[in-house]
Amino acid sequence: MKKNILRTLLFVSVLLLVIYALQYAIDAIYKKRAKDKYALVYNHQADPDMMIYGASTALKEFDTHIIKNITGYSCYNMGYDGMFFLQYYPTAKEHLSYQKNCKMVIIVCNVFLGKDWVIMAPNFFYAYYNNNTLYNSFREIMPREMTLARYLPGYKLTLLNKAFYREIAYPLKSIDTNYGYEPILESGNDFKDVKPFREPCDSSVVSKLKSLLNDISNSGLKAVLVMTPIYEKGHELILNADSIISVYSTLADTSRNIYFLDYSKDSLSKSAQYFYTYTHLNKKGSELFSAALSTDLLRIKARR
Amino acid sequence: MYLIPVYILILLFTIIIDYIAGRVIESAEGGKRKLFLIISLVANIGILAFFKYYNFFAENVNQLFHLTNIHINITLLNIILPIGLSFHTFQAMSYTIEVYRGNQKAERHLGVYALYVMFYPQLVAGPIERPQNILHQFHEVKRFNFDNCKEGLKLILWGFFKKIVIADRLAIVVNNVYKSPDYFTGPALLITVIFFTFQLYCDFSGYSDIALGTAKVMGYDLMINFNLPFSSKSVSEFWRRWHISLSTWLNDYLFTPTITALRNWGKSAVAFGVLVTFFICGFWHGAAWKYVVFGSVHGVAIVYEFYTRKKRKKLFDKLPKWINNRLSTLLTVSYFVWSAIFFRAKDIRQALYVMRHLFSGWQKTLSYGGIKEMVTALGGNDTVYGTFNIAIGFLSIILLELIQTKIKDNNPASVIKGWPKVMRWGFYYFLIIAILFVGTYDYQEFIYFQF
Repeated sequence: MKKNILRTLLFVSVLLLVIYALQYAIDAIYKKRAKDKYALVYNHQADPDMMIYGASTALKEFDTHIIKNITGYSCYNMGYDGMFFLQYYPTAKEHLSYQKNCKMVIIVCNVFLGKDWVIMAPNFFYAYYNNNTLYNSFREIMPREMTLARYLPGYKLTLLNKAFYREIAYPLKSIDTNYGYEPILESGNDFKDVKPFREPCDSSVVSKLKSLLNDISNSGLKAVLVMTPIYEKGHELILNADSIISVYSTLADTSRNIYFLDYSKDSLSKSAQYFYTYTHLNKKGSELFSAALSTDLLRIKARR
Repeated sequence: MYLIPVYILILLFTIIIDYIAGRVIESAEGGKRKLFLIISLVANIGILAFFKYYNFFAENVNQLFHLTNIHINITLLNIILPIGLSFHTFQAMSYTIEVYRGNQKAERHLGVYALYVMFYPQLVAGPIERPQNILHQFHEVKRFNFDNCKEGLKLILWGFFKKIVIADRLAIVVNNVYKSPDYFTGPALLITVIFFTFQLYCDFSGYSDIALGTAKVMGYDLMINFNLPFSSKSVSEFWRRWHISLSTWLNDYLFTPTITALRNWGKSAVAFGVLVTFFICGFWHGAAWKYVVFGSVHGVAIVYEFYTRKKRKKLFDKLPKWINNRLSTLLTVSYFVWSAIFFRAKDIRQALYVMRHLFSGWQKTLSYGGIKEMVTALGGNDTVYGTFNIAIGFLSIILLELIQTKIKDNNPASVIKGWPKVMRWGFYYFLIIAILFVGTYDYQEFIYFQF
C-alpha cells in the first residue's frame, strides 16, 4: 500500500509540474503576443491621455475618434459587453499604477450596480491571474473558481474556451483602428418584452467604486462618472433607476476633481432611432452623444 | 434534462411497485405470476408513455384530426421529462421480467432494490443493467482496492478525453452547421455528418466509460456498452457493438419473444421481429418521427442483410479477404453516418435537406478560395477558429481510431500494456494535458441525457 501511495504521489507531482511548465510557457507567449486592449494595460503598453472604462455602454457609445477630435485627448475605450465594475476595476488600478501621461479617467455608469456573478471574456485575463489586484477583484465574482485557478495548475484552463490560442496565433488589432470602440449600426426595440424590474445596488460595489475614484483623484487625474442616455420608456422599466443614479451623483466631489455627468434623460432619450436597446445607443446615437459629452469634457479639462 | 425534486416521487413509485411485483411474482403461481408481471410492466410503460410520449401522440392525433376536418383538439401538457426515465424504466422492467422467468430471485431488501434502480453512475444514461449482473454485487462488502481505483480512474480519464476533447470539439462545428444547413455546401455538410457520428459515439461511449469507471472505483462492475462499433462488418454486427445494454435488452425482451411467438411464420418472423424491434429502438430514443426513422432504417438494413446473406457472401468471397473486410466496414460505417443525420437533424425535413445537398457544391472546393470560404463558414465566420476546430476534430478522430483498435476488454490500459513505465505515464499525461489544454469547456450536456 505504501508503495502505491508513493507511486501515486510521484505521478501527481510530475503531472502538476508538467502542467505548470506548459501553462507558464503559454502564459508567457500570450503576454508577449497578445495585442488586445486589456493585454496592453497589463503589459504596461497603453498610456493615452484618457481612459474609458465600463461595460457595453462604454464599448458601444464612446466614439474614441470624436472624443479625440473635440477634446484633443488621445483615448482608449476599455469597455466590454457585460463587464461589470468589479471586473474592470483591477484594469483601471493597474493602469493607474504605471501611467505617466493620463489626464482623465472616465467611468461609464449604468443602472447595473449589483454584484456580478460571472467573469466576462476570461480569455483576455487568464495570463494575469498572478496580478494581485486582478485576482482579488475577480475572486469577489467567482471565489472558488479563482482560488483554484490561481493555485491549482491547469484549473484555469477549464474556465476558458481556448480563444487565447487564437490571440497567440493571430493577435487582434482592433485597438489600432478604433481604440476599443465598437458601435452597433442597427436600431431596435427589444425592450418591448421587458417587464418592469428593480436592479439591486450592492454597497460593497459602491464603496469599491468610491475608492477607485479616490485613487484616481489622488493620482492627480480627473475622474468623470458618466451616466449614459436611457430611452425614455426604459425609465419606466427600471423602477429604481433614479435612486441608483442618485448613488452615483453622491460620489461626485468637484473639489477633488471627481465629476458626475448625467445624460440619462438627455434629449437623445426621447428618440428610439438612436437606440438598439433601451439602455444602449446605436452608432448614430453614440456619435451625437460622444460629441455632446466631449463638449462637457472640454469644460472639465479646462478646470484646475 | 432537468432535475425536478418532486419527480423523485415517480422514481420511488416505480421502485415500490416493482419491488412488490418482484416479491409477489416469485411467490405466486400460474396465471397470477403473469398478471403481476403485466401490472408492473403497465405501471412502468405507463409512466414512460405519459412523460415521454403523451405530447407526441397528442400533437400527431391533433394533426390527423385537422387533416380530416375533425374539430377536436387534445390538450398538450407542459411536461418535463424526468432525468434518465428511459434508462431506469427499462432497467426496472428487466428486473421483473427476469424474476418472472425465474432467472433472478426477488430482492428482499428494498434499499438494495432501490440502489439497483438508482445506482448513480448509470442512473442518467445507462448502461441499462440486468439484475443478474449487478444486484448480487450490492450485497457484497466492498473495501477500498487500489487496483480497482486505478482501473476505474483510467476509464474515467478515457471517458473524459472522448467527451471533452473529441465530442465537444466536434459539437462546435456540428451545432454551427445544423443551426442553418442551407448556409453550407456539400463538403461542409459531409464533414459535419462524419463529425456528428464521432461526436455521438464519443459523447455516449465517453459517458459510459465514466459510469463504468466510477462504479469500478467503488468496486462494482457494470456491463460494457460499446465494443469498437466502427470496426463492424455489417449493420447487425454494429448493433451488437453499439449501445450493447439497449440492444441486448431489446433482443432479450422484445425480439426473441416476438420471433418465438411467431415461429410459424418462418423467415418472415425474423424480419417482422427485427422491424418491430428497431422501430421501438428508434422510438425509445425520443418522441419524434426522426428517431423512428433512425431506428427503422437500421431495421430495414438488417432485414436486407438477413435475406441476402448467402448472395452477398458468394459475391464478396470473390474479393481478397482484406478488401472484403475493409469494404464491409466502410459500407457499414457509411450507412450509420448517413442514418445519424436523422438523429441529429431538427426534423425529417432538415435531415432530407442535408442528405440531398451532401454532394452538391463540390466544384467550389477545387480552389483555395473555396476551401477557405468553407472553413470560415464552419468556424462561424472565423477562418482561424474553423481551421482550429476542423484540424483538432480530424486529428482527434484519427487518434481515437488508432487508440481504439488497440483497446481490449474496454480497458484503455491495454493499449500501453508492455510499454516501459515512462511511456505508460506519458500516455496518461498526454490524455490529461489534452483534456486541459485542448478540451472544450463551454456547457455541453451529454446527448443521451435527453432520453
